[in-house]
Amino acid sequence: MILTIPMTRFLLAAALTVATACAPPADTLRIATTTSVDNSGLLEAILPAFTRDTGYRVHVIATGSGQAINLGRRGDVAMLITHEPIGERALFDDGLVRYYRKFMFNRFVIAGPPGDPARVSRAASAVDAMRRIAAAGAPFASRGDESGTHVREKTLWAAAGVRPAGSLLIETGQGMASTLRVASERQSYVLTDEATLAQLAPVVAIGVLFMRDDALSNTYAVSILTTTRPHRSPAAESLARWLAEGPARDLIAGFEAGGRQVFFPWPPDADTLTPESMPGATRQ
Amino acid sequence: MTALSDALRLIVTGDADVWHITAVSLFVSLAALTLATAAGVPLGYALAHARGRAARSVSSLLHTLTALPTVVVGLLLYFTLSASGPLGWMELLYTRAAMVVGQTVLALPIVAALTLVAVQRLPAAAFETAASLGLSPMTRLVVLVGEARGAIVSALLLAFARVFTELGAAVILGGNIRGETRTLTTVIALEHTKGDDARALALGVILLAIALAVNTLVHSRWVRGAR
Repeated sequence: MILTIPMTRFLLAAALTVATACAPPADTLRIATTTSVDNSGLLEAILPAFTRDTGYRVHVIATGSGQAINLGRRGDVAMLITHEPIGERALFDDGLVRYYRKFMFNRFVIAGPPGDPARVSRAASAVDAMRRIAAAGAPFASRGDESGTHVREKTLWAAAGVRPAGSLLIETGQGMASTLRVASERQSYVLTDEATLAQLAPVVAIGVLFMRDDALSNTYAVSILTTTRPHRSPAAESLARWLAEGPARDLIAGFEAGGRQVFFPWPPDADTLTPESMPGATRQ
Repeated sequence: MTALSDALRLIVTGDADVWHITAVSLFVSLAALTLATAAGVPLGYALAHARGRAARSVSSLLHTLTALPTVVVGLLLYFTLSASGPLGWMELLYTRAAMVVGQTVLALPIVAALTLVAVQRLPAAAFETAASLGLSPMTRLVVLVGEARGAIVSALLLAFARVFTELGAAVILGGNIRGETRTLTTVIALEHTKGDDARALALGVILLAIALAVNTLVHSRWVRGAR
């Protein structure tokens, strides 16, 4: 055991060397983002311009909005990109928000098997579509992970007053793309953001069945919380403003996935400061 | 077969991303293995000589810890290294250093437990000779560990295979950040999620090839030759 004392010293020295070699430098900014924004390739396409303009490098943790908000609360990231108005409202209620802007939007869509056994494509509203799915006894694939999409799905089920019974609700507990794969394999209905579906379209056997309803507006917000470390704040504020008020607006509008525009910059005349605000029905 | 040709194309065309990801994987795993060896070999050696209940408890604990689930190690260290955790001030979460710490925790029990077994199984004559030569404790460690090198290198190989191919701790502690903490296992999971199965499979072939190559090379050079 005597030998372990110098070894401990050596280990500490080695660990410190590794730590200093690996710790993020001061010009680095770590953000958490909902998976659709990263997996669609949007950030990869636009962030190099931000780094060129400002010199800040951005480290992206792609995860569900629920976990992203949690990482923000803990202070593990300096900035958030989320699409979960209810969770964002809770951040306001807890007095944690220092900067908040809606900065882009697109749609959630209800996708399902081409045969459409529940006749969702003829639904009068998103809530009606959910009722049709439950009434037809058709399977529904759910994220089940407190992501922005999952929270929206639960809101729709609550408004519909029904839920698929027992094993008809397939909770994947995984990201949007994995859930779309499960929905495809099991030929079930699913609520998804249109960007991820557009991207997975070549490998899944489900398609868009319903989309025309304001209840399906998918709004993305950028926030900086009070938990952000002071020395990371300038970088975080720089990126947040760049996204919401700066050159990113044109880059977002110009970005395409699967050959078409999938994210739309927030309309200049719409309210940007409250989680519940919507871009406006006319623009859907 | 397409996966194999995709993998070869990725390697031959020198896709910068793939090279970097492979380098990060190797750096993290080898750093963790180095730390685990520096601590685990002396620990296993000391335990092989120690008598009494405490030593026996530590030994059986080490054997139990060889089965630590990677995702649990990731989670516990996440809470420790998180900004609101006890070591948050070090700002290590989502860095390669955090991944090295996680993989060291995974590798250490394997190295220590198997070193312990290897030294215990040395013939009594080896201990007697070492004692009769009147060597210093440090020299005796070097000599006896040298005698057991076949089994110990084999333990290191096992530990390397465990950390190089694990996903649970790597993704929780590293965060799969592009160009920083993205490793072969985390990028394979990501590419599958994104729907690019061809790339996921190709990267899988690279991971498998490295794991196999390291095993075969080290095994033929050190383990078989040492008997």
